[in-house]
Amino acid sequence: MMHCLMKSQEDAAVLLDYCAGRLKEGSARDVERHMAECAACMEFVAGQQALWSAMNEWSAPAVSAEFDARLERRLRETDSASWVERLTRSLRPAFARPAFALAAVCLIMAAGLLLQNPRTAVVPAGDSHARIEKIEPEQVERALDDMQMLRELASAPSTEAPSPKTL
Amino acid sequence: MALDADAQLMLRVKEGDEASFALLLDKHRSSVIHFLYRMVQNRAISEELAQEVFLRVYRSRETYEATAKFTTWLFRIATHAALNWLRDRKQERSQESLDEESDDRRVRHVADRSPLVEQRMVAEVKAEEIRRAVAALPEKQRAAVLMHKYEEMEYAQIAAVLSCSESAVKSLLFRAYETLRARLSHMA
Repeated sequence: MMHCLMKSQEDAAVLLDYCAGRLKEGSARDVERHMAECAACMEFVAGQQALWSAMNEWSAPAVSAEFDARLERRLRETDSASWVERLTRSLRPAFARPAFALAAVCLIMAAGLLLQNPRTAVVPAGDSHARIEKIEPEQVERALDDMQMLRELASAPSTEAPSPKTL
Repeated sequence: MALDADAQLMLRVKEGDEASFALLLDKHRSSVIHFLYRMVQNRAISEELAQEVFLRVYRSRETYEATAKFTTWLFRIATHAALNWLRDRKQERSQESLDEESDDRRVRHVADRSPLVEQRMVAEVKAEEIRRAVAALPEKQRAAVLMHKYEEMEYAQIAAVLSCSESAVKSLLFRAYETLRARLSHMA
């Protein structure tokens, strides 16, 4: 025999399903048989059915006629704005990367230092000069000759250039 | 997992088929608005929130994944919209929505000159009592009752919408109906 369904909220859900007509025929008959002997369940079902029938009195108003037109307007606005959204969305993963964030912080700090102390942050003039110094053709020729000489020394047989061990 | 028809429509929206979005709107417009209306109890607000819900559905089309039933996803958005609005509203500590709605009702009474006016007035008084009793429920209980009673949703689906277990939903419903039965016992 079925135990009292009012003893737990989990079981009382069966009674709710019964009131809503959501139980299969066999299960509904089981509940009815049980209710014939259980006053608590019978009372619950009677109260719930009365409540549900009262709740049917509360109908929602009809949807206003301009709802769809308004939505369509807003959808069109969404579409025209979507290219901006797509652009920001495509940039979002880059901004989310820690390396990117770190680089951004470094850049901001460097910019801050430059703005705060422009003299100390400047690279010494001599060094920058050396970097842009012109190289004369003679220097290039000399460097090439030196490289040639080193190459010949490296490829010479070992008898001509004895190793330190044989000496 | 077999996709429900609505999820298939939404996947077509994802591919750029706007006609499928129109079909989804047509199918779910009323249920979403009615659910929102019963949650916030103001017609204008419920339609405004419904606009936001459908806009959000449309905007999410590119990232949509059919992992759950479409209506579960739709009602999750709608429930969040309603709960957020109610929380904001609570902070404002205003009863405007209820008063506005009562005004709407008064206008309808005056305009109604059918021979069944008395009968209709009794029904409207009853509806008003139910409305107030439902409005007095805690928000989550209210959402659960509305989805269970008016949207005829299964416990599992309500649980998915409210992000809780099925037994938590049963408990919410049990307590909510118990409160409603006590408050509306004179109507039986």
